[in-house]
Order: sequence, then structure tokens, then C-alpha cells
Amino acid sequence: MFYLRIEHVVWALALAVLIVTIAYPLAMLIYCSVVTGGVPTFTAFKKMLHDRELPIYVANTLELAVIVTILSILIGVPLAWLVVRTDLPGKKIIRTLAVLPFVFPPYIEAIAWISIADPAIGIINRIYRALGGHGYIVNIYTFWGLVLVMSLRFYVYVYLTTVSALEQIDPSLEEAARMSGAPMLRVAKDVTIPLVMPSIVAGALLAFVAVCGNFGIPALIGDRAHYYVLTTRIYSMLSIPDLDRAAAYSILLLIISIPLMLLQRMVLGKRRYVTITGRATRPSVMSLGKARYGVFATLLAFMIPTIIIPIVTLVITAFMSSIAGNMFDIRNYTLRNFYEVLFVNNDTRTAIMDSVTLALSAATSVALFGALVAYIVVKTGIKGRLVLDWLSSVPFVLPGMVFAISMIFAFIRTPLYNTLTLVFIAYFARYLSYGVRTSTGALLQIDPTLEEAARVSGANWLRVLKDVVLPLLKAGIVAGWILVFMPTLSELTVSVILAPTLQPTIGVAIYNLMEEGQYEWTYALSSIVVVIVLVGQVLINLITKRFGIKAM
Amino acid sequence: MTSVRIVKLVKKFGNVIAVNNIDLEVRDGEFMTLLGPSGCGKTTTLRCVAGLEVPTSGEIYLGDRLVSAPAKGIHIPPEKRNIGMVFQNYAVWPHMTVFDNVAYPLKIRKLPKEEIKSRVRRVLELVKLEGLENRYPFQLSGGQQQRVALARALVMEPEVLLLDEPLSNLDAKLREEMRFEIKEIQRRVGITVIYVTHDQAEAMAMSDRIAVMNAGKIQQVGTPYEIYRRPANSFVAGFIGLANFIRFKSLRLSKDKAYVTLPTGEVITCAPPVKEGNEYVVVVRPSDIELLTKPEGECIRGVIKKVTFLGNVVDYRIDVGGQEVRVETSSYEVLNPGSEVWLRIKYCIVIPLVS
Repeated sequence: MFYLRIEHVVWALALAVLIVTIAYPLAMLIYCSVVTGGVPTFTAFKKMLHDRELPIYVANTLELAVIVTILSILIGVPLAWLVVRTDLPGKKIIRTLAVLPFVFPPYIEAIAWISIADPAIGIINRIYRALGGHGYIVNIYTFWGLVLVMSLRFYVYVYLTTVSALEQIDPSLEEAARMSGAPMLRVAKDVTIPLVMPSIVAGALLAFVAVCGNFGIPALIGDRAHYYVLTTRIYSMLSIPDLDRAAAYSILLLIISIPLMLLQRMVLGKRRYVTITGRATRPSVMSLGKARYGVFATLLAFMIPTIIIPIVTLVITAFMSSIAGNMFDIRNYTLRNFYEVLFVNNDTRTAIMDSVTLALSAATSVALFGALVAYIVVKTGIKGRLVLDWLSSVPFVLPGMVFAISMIFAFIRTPLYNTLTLVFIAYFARYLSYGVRTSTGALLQIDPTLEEAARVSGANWLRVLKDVVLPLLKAGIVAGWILVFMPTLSELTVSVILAPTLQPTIGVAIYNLMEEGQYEWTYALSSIVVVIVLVGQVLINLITKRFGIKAM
Repeated sequence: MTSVRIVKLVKKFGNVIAVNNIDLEVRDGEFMTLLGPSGCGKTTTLRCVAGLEVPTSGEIYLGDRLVSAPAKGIHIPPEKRNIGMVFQNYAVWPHMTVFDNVAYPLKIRKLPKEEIKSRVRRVLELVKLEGLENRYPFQLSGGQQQRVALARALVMEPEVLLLDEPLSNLDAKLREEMRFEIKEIQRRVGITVIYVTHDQAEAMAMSDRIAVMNAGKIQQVGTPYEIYRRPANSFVAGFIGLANFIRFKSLRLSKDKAYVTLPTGEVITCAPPVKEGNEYVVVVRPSDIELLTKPEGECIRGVIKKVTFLGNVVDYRIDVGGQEVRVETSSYEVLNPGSEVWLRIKYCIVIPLVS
């Protein structure tokens, strides 16, 4: 039983990695907010209690999250129903558009909306002035502007969970109700809605927590609307720097998020689905009758201006030689911004190099280490294997900002602090669960009998690993790699806190350029991100289709 | 209780014709089984009767009531047909207790609470689920969920009960037990049943009549005996039970006999075809052949090629003038491969060939 010992060594090493990169930082965050100079003083919490502005920020965060969540439900649920349960034409187009906001980083969405509705440079206000108006008619820098941009991104959580729930309902459950004498609406009330409700609630909770933990959109839009939330306050405390207060605020954010995430798991766990796989029947689809083309047109009329046009405007703006210039004059358009960003400006060039390096190393390490963890969890009987699974999933459910702050506390006294290496470690820990998930999914598909068949054929366990497990696991590893590469390439929240001042990432560079008012370069760099993200998304679709696995 | 009449029913999905112009009459109180291989259109036919599918053309009557007639723009929705239905995967609602599942059709009909209670109690007794009212489906076995589905379909005392492969998810032993129970319940309630299955033993055991379907068409309607003994064509003969299709040189039909001349020149006497056809085949069931060690009366010579002992019977593959014939005899006596035998055919029938 030689290999069992190897398994245990590997398990211990993996656990050590997870403790250093995940458990230790989080423990330090809590420790430092409680203990000063070796005694439990609760200084941070005392400061927090005496902080008169704190209730305002908590109230703001919750108010924003509540309103955005409600809007997310109002948008996501009917849209999911239309796409899954009606004979709506052009479903593929609607489905693609519906998830498009999700492929861009949130700050890109914010910047796109700024190009639409900024009082000075927003395209709507430019047109208004070109038509003879004065000043502006729309202003994105308001509470409702913030709500708009956030809702248009975070509804996707509710939409996706509802779509998958609706698709999973066995249509015969609804048909049985109809055979029992219930008309369509009654079927919806008695059968469909009760069965979908846990998923809607779970999606809404995810959206709520995501709004609370988001930094990019409130930083770019909320601050200028003088609407401050916990994440943006934590960021400004770091620049003072007031680490104690940042820690206390982070813990407050944790106190809001963790119970909701636990609740979310509970709600999903409560679904008493009895899944008996009968033969697949086509889901019962409601006919919209003659209204179907009208509904399709209405959806497009909402989705094109809110989802396509902001991104298009962002790209157009990137070609303007001067943001203040006349956008209706062809002479005002140039490729110069791209040239500057890619070849001249030191900050943006460094940022691109840094982000590519970081994303490559994070994606590779997560894909490989994730596969290792998944293998231990799924294929070995080691007692402590579930600890690995659990620990690796923690950083992703926490708000990114909180996790980044905990990295500061853990490594501030080490040479790693203020280096890109620390950013890499943070990316690795934060996105590790992607790698573990995709590989776990791939490994679960490998029935134990496939390995047993190889053993019986005369292969030892190493040979089985090489000939059977790894080839089948490859798809999971590749999917995990891309799933990590894309978001880390344009990551903002973690890097804005951890990246050294002179070594920004793409996300940080864009944020800084925006703050400095260097709009031309902001938009050029943002356009590059948009193009990379879209190309990456196409790649993901191709690869997941080829390997026949679902990415998320 | 009521009869069901299907007239010239056609159902297309896009370009695929699932049901191709079928006529079928199910009598009041009859147990009718739609039997056929998967994809033959039996489930689609059933779903048209239920109202879950809108036919492309044709008419469906429940008693005198016309419920589907696309040509006249008539389509009574399923909830207004008063039909009970049991689905293949039970479709028991996971978020409701056994009681709530079974009471649901009565709640929809706004019956008084007391009556709902007593009727649910009665029907749960009928399906032997007394005492499980407050369980949730996930606490029940597959067989129990099946009974819940049956109770729910029966509780509103529907005119017709439709069952869509209700036993296919149960294990073999339970399946056999449920066959008799469903049949017994049908006899006691006296309800008209349309039952869909691809399992011939199930169809034989339960049905008053069977409609054998293939490729969207009904091949034959008849009692289990007729279907087995007087198959209307080669598809039915091949689908139900085991059958030897015997090649022959010539055929002479008289009023109540058919004389078949084999390639070897030997002649056997068979039952004449049920229906006329352009081409015929001769069908002999393996169990209708007796093996003799000496020639005696009308018999044909063969040599045993292969012997398989199956317990209750012995399965022989016998070479008869170059063609292989399968014979099943009681296992009381076992002959050896290579032995010369004489086959006495107790019953054979000439039937029209379908391609």
C-alpha cells in the first residue's frame, strides 16, 4: 500500500497551501481587529461603534442591495420564464443578451454607462446639447444611476438560477396538475412557483451579497453621487491609512454576507426534488399566440439600449482624440489612444504586462492545484479530504475586498507585502474554487468502474491515472484554466488593494486613469478589455461545447 | 364511465409524423393497451386523448363528447376532460404530502373538506396506502409513489384512466405484483382504461384488448389470444412472442386451410391468413413444434444444431433443409446436437408480409 502514503503526503501539502493562503489570512483579519499589542482591546470595534458615519454606510449598503435585489427579481424571473416556458421567437438571441452583462467586469459596465450618461461626456447629453439644449438631461452620478447599473448586472444571478430551475422541473409534474383539473394559472400557482421558489430566493440572496461586496460600480459612480457604501469606505480608509477601521468595516461586511450565504445554501438544500429520470419530454411551453413577436420586439427594445449600446458607446468613445471634442465630427476620431495605451504610456504598458503575467500564473496554478484537490476529494478515502474542499471554497463566497484586506494583515510584515507576488497569491486563493469545481465535476463523471476496468486489465494505479483519469480530467482542467484567466486578467477589487502603486494591473490602471480624468486612455484600455473578454467568452463556449461540460 | 373513439388521428412534430391516421374505439369499461416499440406513436396517441397534445388532424370523442377536432377548431384543454392520468415517472409533487397530492383534484373542484377527506381515505385504501397521508414523496419508495399517482388519478372518479408506461421504473418483482393490482382496481372501479406499454407480457396479462402499433400506425386490434394466435401481419407476429418465419416454395390457399410446400418439397398444413395480402409468410411459434425421434404423420426432417437448456424449457436450433428453425420443448427430455429429428407442427399460420 505504498501509494496510500503518497496520497497522505500530497494531502498534507495541499492542506498546508490552503492554510497559508486562506485560513491564516482570515484568522489574522479577525485577530487583528480584536487584539492590539497582544491584548484583546477590541480597538477596531470600539472605533467602529463611535464612528458616527458608520450607520449611514451600513444603511446605504443595505438600501442599495435591497433595491437592486428587488429589481433583479423583477427583471430576472419574468425573463427566465419567457425564455424557458414560452414559444418566444429568437430565444437564442435573448439568452445570449441576457447573460452578456455578466461576462464584463463590473467596472467596465460602470465606465460604459458613464460614456452614455455622464453629464459632460455622456452621449445622451452630447446629443441633447447638439440639438440646442443647455447643460444636461441625464446624470448617471445619482443613486438611481447606481441602482440602474448594478441591477443590469446583478439580475443575471436571479435569471440564471431561475432558468436552471425551470428547465429542471419535470414537465409531467405540471401535466399531472392539468390532468387533475387545474387551469394554466392554477398550475403555475400550485406547482411551478412552489418548485422554482427556492431557486429564485437563492439567486436573490446571491445578488444581494454580490451587491454588498461590489467595489467597481460604487467606486466609479457612487462616489461621484456622494453615495458611499462599505466597500468604497474601506478603500478610502486604506489610503489614509487606517487599517484598524478597515478591518472592522471588513468584518461588518462579513457579518452581513456570511449568514446570507449560509441561508442561500440552506434554501437550496431544502428543495425536496425527487428526481426520477423518466424519458425526456419536451418542456410544456405556453403559446404567446400572436403576441410572441411583439414580446420579442419589446425585449429587444429594452435589451439593446441597456446591454448593447453602453458597450458600443464605450468602444466608440475610445476612438475620440479628445473627449471634450465634437463627437459628430469624423476628424475627431483616431487610433492614437490605442497606440498610446499599448506602446507609449508606461503605466498602461506595465499594467498590461502585469495582468497578463498574473492571469497566466493564477490560471495555471489554480487549474493544476484545483485538479489535485478535486482528485483527493473525489478519488481518495482520506479522512480530512473534505476540509480541502471546504477551505478552497471559502474565499470566493467572501466579498473580494474583505479577502484582500485579510491578505494585508497576514503578509504586511513579510517581504511579500506590496509586491505582485502577493497579488498572485490572492488571485490564486480567491479563484481556486473555480479550478476545484470544474475538476470535481469532471472527476465525478468518471465512474469508478472505468478505473476498475483498467486495473483488471493489468494497469497499476499510476498507469490508471495516466491512461484513464487524466485524459478524462483534461476537459475540467482546461475549463478551469479559462474560467480563472478571464476574470483575473481584468480583476479590480483585490488588485486595487494589494497591487504596488507603481505596478498596477489593468483594472487598477483603468480605475486610476478614470479618477485622474484621463478619459481617452481609460476608454482605450477598457475597449481592449472588452475585446479580450468577448474573445475569451467565445473560446469558453467552444471548449465547453467540445468537451460537453457546463462551465459553471 | 365512457367509451373513447379516435378517428383518423394524425399528429406531426415538424416533419416527423408520430401518429399516422389511426382509428381506434375503446369500449366502455374496457382495458385497452397500446403496445409497440419505442417511438411507435403510442404515447403521443395517449397524450392526444389526454389533451396534452393538440392533434394535427382527426377527431377524438369521449363518449358522445367531441374533445379534439382541429378541423372544427375544437380542443378541450386537459383540465376540462375529466380524465385521470398516471405518468411514467409518477409526477408526484415533491412539495406536497401524500394527502395533498391525492386531494388536489378534489380541491380544484372545490369539494367540501369533509368529503375530500373521506374520498381521499377511500382511494388510499384502494391502493393500499392507508396511514401514509402525511408523508412527503421523498420518504416513499418507488412503488409507493406509483400508488400515490394512481390514487390521485382515481380520486376524482374520472371517466377514463390513462396510464403511460406506469410500471417501467419499478423492479421486476414489484412490476408483476402491480400488474395484477392495477387490473384488480380497474375491475372493481369498472373504469375505461387506456394503457401504454412496450412490455408484451404486461399487455397480455392485463388487457381486454390490445392495439399493436408500429411506425405511427395500428397494426392490429384484438384480444391477447387473437394477437398471439392470429397475428394480422408479420410485424405483429414478430413483435409478440417468439416466431419462426419459414421460407417456402409455394402456397395453396383453400377456404379454411393453407398448404405450404417447403423448399425440400415437404408439405405442411397451416391456418389460412386472417387478411389477404400480396405476399405471405409462414409463422410457427417455437413452442408449437413437437420433436419426434421417428417420423410419424405429417412431419418434416431436421438435424439438431444447438441445444440450450433453460430450466423449464429447452431451446433447440434445428437445421431443416438449410433453414434454421427454433423449437422450444419441455425440458423433461433433452436431445443431443447432431441428432436427427422429425418436427411435427401443431399449429402454424400464413400471414400477410409487411415491409
